[in-house]
Amino acid sequence: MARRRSGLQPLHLAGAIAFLAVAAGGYWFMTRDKKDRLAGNPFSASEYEKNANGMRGGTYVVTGTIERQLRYGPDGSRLFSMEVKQEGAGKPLPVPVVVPSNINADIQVGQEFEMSVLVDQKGVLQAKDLRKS
Amino acid sequence: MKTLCFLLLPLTVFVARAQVADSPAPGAPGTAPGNTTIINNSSQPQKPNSILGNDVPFMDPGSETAQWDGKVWNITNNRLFRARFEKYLAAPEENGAKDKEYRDLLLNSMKAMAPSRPGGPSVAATMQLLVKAADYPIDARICDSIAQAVYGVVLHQRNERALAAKNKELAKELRDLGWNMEVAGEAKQTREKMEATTNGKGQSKTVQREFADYSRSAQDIKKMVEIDASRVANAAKMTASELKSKVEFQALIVQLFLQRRFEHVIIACRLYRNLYEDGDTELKLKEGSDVEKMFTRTTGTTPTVTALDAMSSEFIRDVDEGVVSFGYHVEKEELESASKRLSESFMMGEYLPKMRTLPRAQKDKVRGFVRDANQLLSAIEVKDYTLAEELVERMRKTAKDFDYSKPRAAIETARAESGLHIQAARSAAIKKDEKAAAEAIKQAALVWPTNPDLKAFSTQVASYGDMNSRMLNDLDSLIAQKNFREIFREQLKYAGAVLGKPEYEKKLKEVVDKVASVEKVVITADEMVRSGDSYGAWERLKEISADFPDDNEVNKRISKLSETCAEFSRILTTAAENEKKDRYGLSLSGYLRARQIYPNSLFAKDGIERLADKILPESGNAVPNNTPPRPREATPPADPFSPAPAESLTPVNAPASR
Repeated sequence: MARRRSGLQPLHLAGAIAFLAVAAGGYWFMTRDKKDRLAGNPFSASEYEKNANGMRGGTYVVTGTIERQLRYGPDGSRLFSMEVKQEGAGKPLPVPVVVPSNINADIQVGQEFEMSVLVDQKGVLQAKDLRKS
Repeated sequence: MKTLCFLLLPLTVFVARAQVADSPAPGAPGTAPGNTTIINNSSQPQKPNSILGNDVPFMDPGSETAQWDGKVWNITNNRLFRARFEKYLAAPEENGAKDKEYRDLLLNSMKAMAPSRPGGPSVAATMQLLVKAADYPIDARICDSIAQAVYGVVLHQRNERALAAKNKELAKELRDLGWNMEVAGEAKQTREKMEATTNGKGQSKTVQREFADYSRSAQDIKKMVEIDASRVANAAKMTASELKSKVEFQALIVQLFLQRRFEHVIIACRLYRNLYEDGDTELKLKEGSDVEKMFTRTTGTTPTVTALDAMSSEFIRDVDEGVVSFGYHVEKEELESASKRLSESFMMGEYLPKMRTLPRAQKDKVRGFVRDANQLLSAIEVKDYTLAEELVERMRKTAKDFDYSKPRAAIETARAESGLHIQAARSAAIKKDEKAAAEAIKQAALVWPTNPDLKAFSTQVASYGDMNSRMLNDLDSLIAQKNFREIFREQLKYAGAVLGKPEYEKKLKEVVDKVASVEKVVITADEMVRSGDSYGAWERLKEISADFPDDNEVNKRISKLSETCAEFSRILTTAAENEKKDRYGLSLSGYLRARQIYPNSLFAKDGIERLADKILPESGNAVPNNTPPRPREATPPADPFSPAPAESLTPVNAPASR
């Protein structure tokens, strides 16, 4: 009859390491720096749809997924269609966003971005800053 | 029999003229005073070839026609003859007691004058019978005319006898005068001898006696000359009177012959021979006249009273045979032959007993056929071939021997010729050549005036003018109403109306082309709906409705799709409105949303392109590498119905038109 093993087993060790990693990650997420987030009021897609005129001149932070690039301007500006989720709505609202040439970011279709945008007089969203979500 | 008929008919006109002694013109030289009749055989100047003149009709037995005075007449088809024959067929047979009595009287009259009669022919007995027969209406007083002629001959003979007696008296008186003169001469000689013996005493008395003797002799000679002249004059009167009497009697006989009163002719001929026993029976026809020539040519001999007698007997026999033949044909249901035989017999012997006693029941069998035949002739004469065809069919059924080939040929020829003219008129009408059409119709009407096809065509042409102008008015109204679909539906009708009118042809072509394009879109839309592409169908219909807002078919389909495409439609409408208000962001958002719903949306694609150009004018076709290629679905389908001009696809107009 084989002798039964006792004491610290390797499986116990791996479990402890995993626990520590999860705990560290949770701590980082909870205690990360709020200064990395873009400043401004969140952009409401439903509000834009209803009252775009009222939003003209305002700066908002919009988060959405790049649906496609609509136009590439001669000065390097780019016009994107970005799908912005609406509160309580099933389908996201596609809104046009112009990314000026001075924002040299690699923007790919399907990527989610958080952008600080200015709603201009024509109701077009002009990106002032952006970062990947 | 036909030959006899042809001989007889012309005689009806001319022989009588030749028989009548020509009366001298009043005041003409040589006219004798008093009752003296002079037979003038010298030819008088006459107008050549005048109607009822000396020209003799030419008979053609082959075609049953007579050529006379430059015209051709069909003998059996003569209207008067046809009418008379139909009257005869409808009349009842004359077999009453009175008719029989009359026929017996005529028969007995003939027998009374027959040479085989015991005691010889009796003019007196015949006269008694003729006077009785004259009282019957059927005789028409002809027997009385014969009796009067006989009485005239008797008077003439009485006069002749009186003249002869007078000449006899004159001859006796002449002889007496001669005798007296002879006796007086002898007495003178005796007296002269006696006076010579006494010598010298009575010288003066002798001279006076001589003078008296010469005077008496001169008177006697004068009287003898007068008596002789009277005798010669009486002899001439007798000769002239006899000739006149003969001519009058012959004229009556010929007249009766021409009237086809053959029984009367036989009686008169026999009376003539008995009244004039000198044996001179030659007809006194004008020598060299057409009638005299005709008699000579047809009979080959000089015409005589006896010849007329024989011909009358022959005609009577011929008529009897014709009636027998008629009965046989009727029995065999050969109505055409029966009617021909009877008509020939009728023409020859209308008044003969065989014809008058023919039962009406037998005549009825051909009466209908004869009536149809006469009507057929009239129908063909007036070119009513419809009626002619009906009659031919009916006659074919009733008469086994009816030869319908001639009328059928005439009908078919007319039908074909008329049909060709109508066809020509129709072709000309289609080509809008009114002059040629009118000429062709005129020709068709000349050939067959009552052609039903001609009537129908004329009506059609007459109504075509009204209909044509009405249709053009309708076309104008429909174009004004933009009811192009109705024009398209009736395009064949309007195509006929506008033919030859370039202005209307152009209008119609434009409308038809337009509606054809709409129709293609409608068909395409229907096909798209069937394949589940309702948004695509809706877009096609909305696009075409901009040009045809009143098209029912398009509007009906748009209305049907409005439920399915309500959200899509609303988003596009809102996008278009925002674009008009320069809300480019919101407008572009709308078009993007529309494309989310229907990725192949042409309206959305164009809107996006248009607004992208406004927001960020394009530098070229450069597309960044990090952008995926434009989805193929945005490209319009490669079919001929794809909306071509960008302007026409603008959704700006579409919602506005709703």
